[in-house]
Amino acid sequence: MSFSKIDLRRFEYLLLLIVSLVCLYWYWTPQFGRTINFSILLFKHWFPGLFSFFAGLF
Amino acid sequence: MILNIFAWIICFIFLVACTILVYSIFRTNLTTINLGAFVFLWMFNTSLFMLLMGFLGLLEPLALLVASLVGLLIVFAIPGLRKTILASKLQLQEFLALCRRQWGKLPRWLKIFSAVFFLLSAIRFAFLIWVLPPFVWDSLTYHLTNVAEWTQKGRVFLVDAPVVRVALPSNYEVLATWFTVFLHHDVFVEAAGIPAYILAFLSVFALGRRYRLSIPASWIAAMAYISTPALILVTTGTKNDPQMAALFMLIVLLLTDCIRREDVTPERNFTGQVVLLIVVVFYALGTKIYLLHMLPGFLFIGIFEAVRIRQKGFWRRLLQRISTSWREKGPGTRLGLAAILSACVLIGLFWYVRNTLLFHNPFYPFGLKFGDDVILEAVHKSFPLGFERLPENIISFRQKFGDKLYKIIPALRDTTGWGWFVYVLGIPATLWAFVRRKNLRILMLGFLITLLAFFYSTRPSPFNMRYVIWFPAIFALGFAALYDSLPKAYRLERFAFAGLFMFCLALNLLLTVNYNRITIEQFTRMLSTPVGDRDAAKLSVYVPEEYEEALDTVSNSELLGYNMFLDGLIYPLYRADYSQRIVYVPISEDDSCESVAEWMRSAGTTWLFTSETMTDDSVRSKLQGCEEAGLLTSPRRGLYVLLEN
Repeated sequence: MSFSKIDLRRFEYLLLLIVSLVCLYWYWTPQFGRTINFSILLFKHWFPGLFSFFAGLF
Repeated sequence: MILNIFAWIICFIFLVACTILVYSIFRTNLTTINLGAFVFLWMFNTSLFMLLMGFLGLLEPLALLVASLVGLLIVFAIPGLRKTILASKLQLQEFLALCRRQWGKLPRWLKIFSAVFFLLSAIRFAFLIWVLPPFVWDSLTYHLTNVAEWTQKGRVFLVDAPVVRVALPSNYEVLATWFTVFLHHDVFVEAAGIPAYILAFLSVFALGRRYRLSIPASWIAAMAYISTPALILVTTGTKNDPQMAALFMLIVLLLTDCIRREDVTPERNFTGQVVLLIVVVFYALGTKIYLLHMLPGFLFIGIFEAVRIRQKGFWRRLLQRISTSWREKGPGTRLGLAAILSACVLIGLFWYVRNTLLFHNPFYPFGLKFGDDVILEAVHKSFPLGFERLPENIISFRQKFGDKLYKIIPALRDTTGWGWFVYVLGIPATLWAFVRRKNLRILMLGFLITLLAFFYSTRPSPFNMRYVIWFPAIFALGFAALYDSLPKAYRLERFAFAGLFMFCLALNLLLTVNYNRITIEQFTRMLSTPVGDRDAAKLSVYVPEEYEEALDTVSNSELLGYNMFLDGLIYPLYRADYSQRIVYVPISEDDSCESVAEWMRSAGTTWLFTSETMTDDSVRSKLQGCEEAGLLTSPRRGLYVLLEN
């Protein structure tokens, strides 16, 4: 028996993992852009100010 | 101000004392359930206290302080009650020790991730509550209009407003008033959803334990659920949907525990659990009518969980257990249970009885239809009893599925709002769990039936997924079941699933940082405005500019009349400190200019506010005509002043 019960079980979990990764790929567009959009803006907008604030402390 | 803060603290202490007393009647021998029960009972007691004080016209800091002090004196003067309060210190110590033990059972990666997640969530919540005024559409139309009127007038009453939904069941609004009445300001009103958020976490965790998931897996389920964008966004959205989600979960938890757990010891407190279940159901009924949509799901879970146990004479024995448990209670406990049952009937049915007496329709302003027959006349919209809406809603759901059509915002326009975790891990894992974990099947089907019950009756609208923000909890439990079943030897799979779990939750949190709605410029403007002046009118997410212009023109010592349609934004007119008194002027296109003036005089105002997007065009044309006729003048856009000749 090359396919033991344990191997099949492991295959089941690996298959689920692959399905999850496919779902991640499917959900990525356009959700990833929407998800990080504000954070990028925040970084661009406030980071220079924050940087000079902390730089000023030293 | 210091006195008001002192009053708030004393009132909080009094309500915690009341909660400890009531909790002692409902306490069972499972800590996971007790935790949820305690948070719920605090919400229940606070709402009840505010409602009763509101009936008496005593919703103001000094009266609440006096009532709380008198209440505390009574509690500490009666030896039995004092003993219960003092004993809670020991219970708290035991509870904290248990928490430490349970926390110790979590794997290291989960502890670190949870700590970071909770810290960032707390910072996010605190920042948004502190910086932004309320801005969600339904809140500004009717939820917060009630809160503003009750805070301003110091009593709970039916508000006279064109938005007829102010008459809907309002337990959430009563609770939210507790967050505004002491400071006479709305700076903390968004925090009214936080207790429900905590309750949702505790209930999902306890539900996981109830379905024999391990402590780490149940923790993963609870974390996954509270990261759902739809839930996070509405928690501080000043609406009652997070309350309903948390109450749904608590009802399912208590129901399944009552049926599944064979424990007849007095410590189990079976009667207490059954009464608590009834109290939660009534409280939810007084929060939102859509509890009725949830009933088929509860019935399904209750009946089929009992059938699954397959024990002969199950229902007879269940009644026997209630009866035995009731007889074991002392007279004091029985009296307490009876009093709480009466209170829950009051808080659950008051709104429906009032609407029946005033409008001959308990569900006013909603109607009820069966085919073409109108059972209850609708003023706002009608709920049909029939299958015609089911296919439309399923098609609408199919379009929203995947959150592709629109970004996830608090109103959940054209999205499910389920976020990264559900679509990446939750759905595949739940399908797996449905096949592999038989003991979860009934629960899953119960959730599905409740979802279909909503689709059966609610209006197909771009926004209707906000009624079902409890649904993603089943995906969280499904994934937890999968993770629990992964053998420790499968290190790669465990590592990969844990990594994906953390990645999805991090993205969910990142997605909600600014409600996916507020721009940098809006944040900057609010941050540059003093906290006390952060009026909802100044945050122009939905609120048109003429609101702010009107409030700049009209002094808050004057009564401001307004005219809007059925779904207009009333709340921003009150200002953040509720200092602006407003009155509805119910003019229509059929009125002459003379009768417009008469309406304004009878309302006691010389000002009339209208908005291009909130007032009917016909009314605005009429008012422009009256301005040309020299009866009114308009100093600002949409704002009219009555010229007295």
